[in-house]
Amino acid sequence: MIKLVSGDGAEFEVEEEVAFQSKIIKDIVADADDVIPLPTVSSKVLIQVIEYCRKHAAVNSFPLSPSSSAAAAASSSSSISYSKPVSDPALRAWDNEFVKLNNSSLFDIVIAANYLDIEELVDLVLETVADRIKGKQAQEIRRQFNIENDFTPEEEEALRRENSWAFQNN
Amino acid sequence: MRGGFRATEVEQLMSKRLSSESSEWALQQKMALGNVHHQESVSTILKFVHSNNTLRRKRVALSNSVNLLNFASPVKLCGRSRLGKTNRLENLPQDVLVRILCKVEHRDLKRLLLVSKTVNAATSVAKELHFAFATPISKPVFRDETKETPNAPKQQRIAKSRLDGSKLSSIATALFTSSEDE
Repeated sequence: MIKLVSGDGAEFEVEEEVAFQSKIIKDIVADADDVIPLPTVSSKVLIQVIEYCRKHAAVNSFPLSPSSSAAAAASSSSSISYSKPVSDPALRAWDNEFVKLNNSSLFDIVIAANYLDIEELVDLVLETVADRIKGKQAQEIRRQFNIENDFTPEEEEALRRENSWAFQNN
Repeated sequence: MRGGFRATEVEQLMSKRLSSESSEWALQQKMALGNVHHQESVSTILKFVHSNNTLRRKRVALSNSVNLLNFASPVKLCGRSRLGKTNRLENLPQDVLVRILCKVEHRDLKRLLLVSKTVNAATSVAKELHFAFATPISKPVFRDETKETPNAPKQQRIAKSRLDGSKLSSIATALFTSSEDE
């Protein structure tokens, strides 16, 4: 068991294969002790990240479990290759549920996942956020993410002119 | 207050270093910082930074003019969230923001450029890093490609075959009759 200590001092005991979804933790454990302080990760976020790691560790190590499909069992049984779309449809469905969060929570998770080097989780969240940007007008993007338009009208006009080729059939 | 100063230092260091690896470095610094003040989470650090806005406002203006073109520094961002709204997207580390933007499509870039200065800067980076090398998802050359040609004569009925079964035999004549047959 590995003990993770969140920024607000809460301790979480997790199995090695769960914690090792994070490459950083894997490296730390290799040459240090089993209590790992994560001062920049709050308990709330750490709980979510552990939930994700637990799910993925379970699917990755037991691909023959009844919940996962035959297709996933046929694919790599040892380890899922990183930064590729998750192959197991059941797991992908679970992922889709997992990221049904507001933007702020997603950003917390992506910062933590980036910090812990959980490549799959980073990709998952980045995809989700990108999906919320795609196909939207600038104003909609601002509203969605509470962004203030800090361009002066002149600057905005200049930008439009500069990129006029791109705005032709907005 | 001491914690606040330390956080400010870290943020300033972060703003000086621009590449993605340096932001990792800054994170490590933060981690080290957290080790000193046990149980200090990112959010508390951020809070400290926010409460120090008045201390650093001058610096904000400075970094504005210097960094505007390539990278918007995190220092600048803190000043803006005084509006009370949470503007988390722009407060993300730039490398994360760029990676998000690398996942949108080519046609989204032009709108992203107009969103705000921070997003504009990040979009420019994403453009250089990723979109210059990625193939755009193909879109129809003409809009509404599925619609029929506008001025084409309308065909009310499908043309019926004029072949009549009984007459078919009359068609099946030898086209090239040789002289011997006649």
